[in-house]
Amino acid sequence: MGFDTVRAYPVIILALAIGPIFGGGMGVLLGLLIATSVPYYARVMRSSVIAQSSAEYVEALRAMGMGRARIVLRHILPNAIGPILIIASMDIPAYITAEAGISFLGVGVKAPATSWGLMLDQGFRYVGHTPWLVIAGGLPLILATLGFTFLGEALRDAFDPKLRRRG
Amino acid sequence: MFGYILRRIALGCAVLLLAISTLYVIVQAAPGDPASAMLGPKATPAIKAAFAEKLGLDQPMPVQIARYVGSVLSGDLGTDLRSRRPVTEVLAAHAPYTVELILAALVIAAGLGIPLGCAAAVRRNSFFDRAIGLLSVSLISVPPVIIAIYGMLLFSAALGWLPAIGAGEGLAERLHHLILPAVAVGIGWVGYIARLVRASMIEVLSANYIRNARAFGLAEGRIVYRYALRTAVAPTVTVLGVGVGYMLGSAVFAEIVFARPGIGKLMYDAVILRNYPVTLGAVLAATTLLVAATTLADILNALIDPRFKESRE
Repeated sequence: MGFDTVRAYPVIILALAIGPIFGGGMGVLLGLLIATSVPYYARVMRSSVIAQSSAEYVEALRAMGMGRARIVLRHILPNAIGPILIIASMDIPAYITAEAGISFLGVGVKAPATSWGLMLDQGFRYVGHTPWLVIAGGLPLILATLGFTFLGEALRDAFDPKLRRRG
Repeated sequence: MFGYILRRIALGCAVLLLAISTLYVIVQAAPGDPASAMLGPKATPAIKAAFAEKLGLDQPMPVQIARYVGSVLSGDLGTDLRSRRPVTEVLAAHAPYTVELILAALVIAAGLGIPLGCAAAVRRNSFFDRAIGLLSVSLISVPPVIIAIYGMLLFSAALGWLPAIGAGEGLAERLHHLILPAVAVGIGWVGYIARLVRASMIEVLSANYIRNARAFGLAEGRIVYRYALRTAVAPTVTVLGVGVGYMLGSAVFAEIVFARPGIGKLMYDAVILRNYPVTLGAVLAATTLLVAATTLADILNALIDPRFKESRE
């Protein structure tokens, strides 16, 4: 349960708490997204490797006297990495969303660099005068997140019908 | 059952304590000294030294953590640098707005998601089922900040149906002001819940006891809504408990866009004004809400479906 809490901890709130201390910017944004994702990916990889380790081909390799490291790196890893690739592709929209949100709050990407989230933030400041800046800033975000979501779903259906969307 | 509930609450408290300590360590480990981070760039070295001594920053880390946790537990979160009021008082004034927003979002997510999921499971592979599937995927992927902004532009600015700003006074006004933000926070979860309920409903409907109920000649509607739904809804309760965390994140945007005086808006304003005690307090409040929600979800689940309790132990 403790793990679920860490996983569920809203990255947005973490960004607001930590971003200003480190000054925001691309590096902090990346650090946050990576730090909050690593445990989840580690858990998926763990169960995937465990599943592969009990496969017959691993037993055969062991019987042939192959070293542990070689079995893991050459044979288990390529077979176990599939779910991670699918999850990663399904996570792309989540990262785009997180970037947009964090930059909108002013603790992510900062000018003179730019991003869609920053466009939203800047557009929202003028929303009283004209709505078109935020509308224009939001459309590519919607299209990109939708597009990558459908891509992720299609990849999952093609390669691993059993892997459900995480809950 | 009682023992399980007690253990679950104890675990929740432990997680919370760990979260408070972690937060403290992260803040202290940040580059630059915490005194200047908290006091802002204009503080002189003398003020900084006094501040560090006052907060006990010269003590070893475990002592600092223990002192911080102790002061949090005794309800002392420091003073709002701007209004000079205790942070706990400021939090108490803002928290109800966030809690009611999250509750309303949960009602929307479950109230629409569960029936839609059931209907999709019963009419599996029909056009309706596919449409619900497509809708769920689309709703999940659109960033909540965009839903909030576009919702405000459409329903407040262009159509003028719903208020754009504030939280309103009196029950009717408050509810009226709650609609748009709650939809912005909850709508993404409608599709997610619908998908989840659909999947677990399909599984439950193929169980032996349902086949038994059919063999006894019970009406299909009664089977689905009286017997199957109770089991099928259990995973949804867990997901909604975890979902409160994500909703807290979306609530930050909804509160900023609709200028609601909740915890998220408080946190955002505090970050901009470098009002660090308030930021930390708001983060703690959000964390507490999150841990309380996951704990409550697990307890509810154990009450709905006793098998769940055993599987988690």
